[in-house]
Amino acid sequence: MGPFRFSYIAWNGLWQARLRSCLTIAGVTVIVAVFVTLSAIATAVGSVVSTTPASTRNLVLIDKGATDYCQGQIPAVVAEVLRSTPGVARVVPMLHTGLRWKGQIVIVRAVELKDYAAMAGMRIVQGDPLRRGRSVLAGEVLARMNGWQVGDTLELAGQELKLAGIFRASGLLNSELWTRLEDGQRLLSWGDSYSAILVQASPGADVEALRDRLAASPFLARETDVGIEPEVYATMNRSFEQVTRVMNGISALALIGVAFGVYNVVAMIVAEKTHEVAILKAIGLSAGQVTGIYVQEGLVQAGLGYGLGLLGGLAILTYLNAASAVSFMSVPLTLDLASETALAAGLLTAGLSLISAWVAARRAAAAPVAETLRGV
Amino acid sequence: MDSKLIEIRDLRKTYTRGRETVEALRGVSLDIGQGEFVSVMGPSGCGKSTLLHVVGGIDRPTGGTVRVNGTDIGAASEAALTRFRRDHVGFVFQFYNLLSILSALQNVELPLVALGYPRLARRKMADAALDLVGLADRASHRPAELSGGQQQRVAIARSLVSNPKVILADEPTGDLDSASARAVVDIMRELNGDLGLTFVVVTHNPRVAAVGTRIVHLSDGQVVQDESLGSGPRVSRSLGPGEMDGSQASEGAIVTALQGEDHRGWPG
Repeated sequence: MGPFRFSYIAWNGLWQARLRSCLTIAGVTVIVAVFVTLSAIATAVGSVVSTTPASTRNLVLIDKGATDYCQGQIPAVVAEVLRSTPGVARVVPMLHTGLRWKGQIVIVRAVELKDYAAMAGMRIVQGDPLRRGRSVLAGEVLARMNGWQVGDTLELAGQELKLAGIFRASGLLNSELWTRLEDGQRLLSWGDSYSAILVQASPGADVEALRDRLAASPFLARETDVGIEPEVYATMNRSFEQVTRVMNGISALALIGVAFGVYNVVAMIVAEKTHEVAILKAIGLSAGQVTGIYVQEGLVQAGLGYGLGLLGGLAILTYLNAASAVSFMSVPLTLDLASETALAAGLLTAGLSLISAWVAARRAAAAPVAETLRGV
Repeated sequence: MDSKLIEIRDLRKTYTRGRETVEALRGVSLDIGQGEFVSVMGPSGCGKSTLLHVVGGIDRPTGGTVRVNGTDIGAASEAALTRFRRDHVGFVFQFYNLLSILSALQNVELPLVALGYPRLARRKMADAALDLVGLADRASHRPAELSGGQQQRVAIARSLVSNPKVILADEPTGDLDSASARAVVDIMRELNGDLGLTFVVVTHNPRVAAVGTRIVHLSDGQVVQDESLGSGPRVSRSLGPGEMDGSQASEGAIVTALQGEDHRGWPG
């Protein structure tokens, strides 16, 4: 029985003030649903970036001082130097940049024809491999988003390109448009420079030693920064992680709103019921028991709001997924409710509600009985 | 008179109201025995309610001592005072002070819940208490669905259900019409007479005070007269017609209730 001995008083109180109870529950519901949605978006953003394939056998060279593949221009001579470097099995120069297409940014990656099939574990799911002569491949997600079919002609940067095939890869690659290096350079008017160069280490070669060697080369060090592919991705991811952190922070702030809401409601309840509190104490309930009644009122509302908020959040995520309504760098995000998110929301809601309800109720329960009754 | 249940020695109580310091009790000394029905009278502001609050353990003395059934109210811890109120005292207030969200039965059950009685036992005891005050058929009604007199009878049922040592009533008829007041007074007197319950009743009404065994007059926080009306618990007798205000009176209400007979004809 213990702390729930007086639960029926809490339930009766909630039922008597049905409108207020419903509004409080609705408020918590909205906040939890917002938390769930923002957390799912943050998780999906992180997931898109982190699932983009990266090999620990690959090194990436980007223009000196650049923070990602899309920035800077590396002269073609760098690729020539790399090809003659011991321990290097393959050199894949590429262009990687964003182009505006009908109001959206499309990431274009251009590689030499002989190299693209070796990139990133891509698989052609419709049409043909990339071929010579103004052809492009589209990532499956990008094609689906834009309703592109194999054989369509796309006008990009004032040039017409034929969609030769559609490929499937993972992460951000799925929303890229791939073309031949020469077509890419023409498309972007970049001459014969590259935005990044991928270097595959020879089998048996020490990748870190190779990286150190390239980084120590005065010529390469002047032109480029070099890193092992996952490390370069991790550097790029830092900006995405900041986005994720901001969204998680907003989500957490939203949940702190639950605490204020519950505190205000419980404070309002006990302010209205100071006389009732005094009566309960006069007939022998301890301050702890009286506090427990109103804490339960707060927790029941928060608990119901949490449950409904989870359901509401799920409904929102389902809708957003169905409508492909949320995208990140042109990648539509698949939003899932992670069990960790549900647990975190539950613990935060319960913890913050408990503390705020307890503070409000305890204050009321500590009021002197005689003075309260005398005030009638 | 039976053994001393309440011993008050040089009781002083001062409290502040805004910037004003109010000396509510100024050296009250009083003994009240088990089974007495003591009426406390006096003008407004003379300290009657404060005396009741201190005796009931919902307020503490500023000076002097108050012992109720061995508990020193001034020295007891908060937890001890809570136990004291729960175990030994029943309160009846002028404005009933029932919880509006609970039914009559649930209101009466409250002290038993605090005492930890199992559900079935407390339901039976609450039913019996409601029956005792003639409201068994109103058990499921909320306070708003009851008249003032009925609410006060529910409050009396709540005060006695845990079998306290003393029932403290603060103007129990102050907010009632005469018929309801008469019924409430009848109940209190019969509980005193038939069950030997100790009552301390604060009232302005001399007719209500007169049904007790003793009247204590307070003025300016001091006892100015302590008048004994008889020795020991009095035999039940209902107020006659017109004794409250000249209207019809109820006869032998509690006796009827205790005998388990029909009490639908109670005023209220």
